[in-house]
Amino acid sequence: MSSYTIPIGPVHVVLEEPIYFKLQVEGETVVGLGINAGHVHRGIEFLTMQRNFYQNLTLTERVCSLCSNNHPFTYCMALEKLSGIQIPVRAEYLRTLADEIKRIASHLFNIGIIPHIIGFDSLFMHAMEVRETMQDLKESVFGNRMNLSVNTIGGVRYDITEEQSKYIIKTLDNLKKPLEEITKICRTDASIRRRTEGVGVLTKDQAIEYGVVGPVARASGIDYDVRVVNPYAAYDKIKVNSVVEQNGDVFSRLLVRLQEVAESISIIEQCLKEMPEGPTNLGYMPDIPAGEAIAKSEAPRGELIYYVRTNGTPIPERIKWRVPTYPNWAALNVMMPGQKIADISVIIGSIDPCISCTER
Amino acid sequence: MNKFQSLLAQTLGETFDLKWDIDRKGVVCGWCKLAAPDDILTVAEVVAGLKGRVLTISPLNTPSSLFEQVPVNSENTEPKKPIQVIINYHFYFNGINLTAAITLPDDQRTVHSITPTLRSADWHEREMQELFNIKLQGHPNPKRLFLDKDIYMQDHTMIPLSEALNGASTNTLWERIMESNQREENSNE
Repeated sequence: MSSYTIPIGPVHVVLEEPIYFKLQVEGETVVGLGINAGHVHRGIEFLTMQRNFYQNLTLTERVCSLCSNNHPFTYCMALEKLSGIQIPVRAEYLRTLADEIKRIASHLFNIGIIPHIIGFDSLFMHAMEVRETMQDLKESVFGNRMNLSVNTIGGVRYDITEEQSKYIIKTLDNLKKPLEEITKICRTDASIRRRTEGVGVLTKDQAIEYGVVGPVARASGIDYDVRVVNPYAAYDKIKVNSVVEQNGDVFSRLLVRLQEVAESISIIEQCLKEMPEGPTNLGYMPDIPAGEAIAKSEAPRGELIYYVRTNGTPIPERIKWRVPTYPNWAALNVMMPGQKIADISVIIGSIDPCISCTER
Repeated sequence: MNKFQSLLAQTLGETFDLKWDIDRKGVVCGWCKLAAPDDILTVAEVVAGLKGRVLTISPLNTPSSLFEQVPVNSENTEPKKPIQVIINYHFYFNGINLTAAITLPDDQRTVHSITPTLRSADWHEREMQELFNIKLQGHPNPKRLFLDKDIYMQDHTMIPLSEALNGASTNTLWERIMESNQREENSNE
């Protein structure tokens, strides 16, 4: 059988973001993989070192679109840890609320993309229609469909009224039935299972070795969710169950995301029920002393970490972040070999890659 | 925490400085300053033994080279401090986040790779190689991750890499067009 190298990308691999794969194939089977990134590197880490702490709130929100909220969120947590600021309890709940709303929208997007890749477009449209209710919800509560810009150093910049709280609960109630339907289709439909079960397998040992995070890790049996293991914001006061599957294939990753949407709905309901009254931020803009700190959060794609080092000036000395997709790329080296060329895009889609995050 | 500390002390003795901070939610962060750059290999082995992984690696130039662009008073002519490279390695194991920092000696930009011990360091080390021009010794696959191998790197190339790539391709393309135009003109004559 002849062996040759085929290029995949850099334009429009799975999503409208560029990444370049060089696949070594034998016949129709993948035997090796080279990944080449850097096509949309914007140097945002460099830019953050030339802007002040408050300008960086806006900048970090623009690193990514689907997990945009997590970037300023984690950045603020790192600065708060560094300065010893304790934010109001209501702000902790409001941060959690905004984050879970973003998580539902992000997961539903990937839940729609997987059937789309395997040619099940009616389910893709169904999932995107359901997701649209979350987009409407974001627009009604925060004023924006993607970048919520709710975080600030020392708290949040929004508050919700009783009426808005009822509206959120009603929207989520309406989401439950279609979500069950989609989950049932995904679990039982023969064509989905044929294309995803046993495809792109990452075993637990390999997952530990490659240090993967988020739904990719949890689908391989690693019970690691930052919200549970290293709690932040209001997650220490709320019941969060981490969703774990054992098989480590594309199907398991899909199931993890589906169940996490249901889990997020439950978290939002708890938040709205238990949220205390009180201020939502410090009411002033704190100065940031010299020091260094790290903060982590669970973005929709997994663990996000920020490292901040300051020197007493209003401009940070170094900000570094590691996005959840970053460690997951290398795991493709394990998932791909042995698979057919036709399965490549569904495997790439199953790690829910975020290329603008990777490049920064 | 204590287990890690004692494991590390077994090999390194008391040369390192280790502090723990626990926040209100019970999240443990360790901050460890290592005496010699090569000590990072020992830390990596201890972390690998605890089934840990690399969260990320944050190299930084200090004092930041960016501040030098700000015009300095002419009276204030202190001898310039050389730029030092500090590399923070962030590890995760058993629910603990540990940052181990090494400082490279002046004029040296080479470190031993920890990827053979901890595979999760792979991309982070290769990124450091491209963005900070830090050379890796013993990396199993030190290929460029972002940039083409023909693009020259500075000690702090944190500019948009895509710009460097575009520039390279546009130039090459332009030169080719100019060359072919020239050839056509010559043949017309």
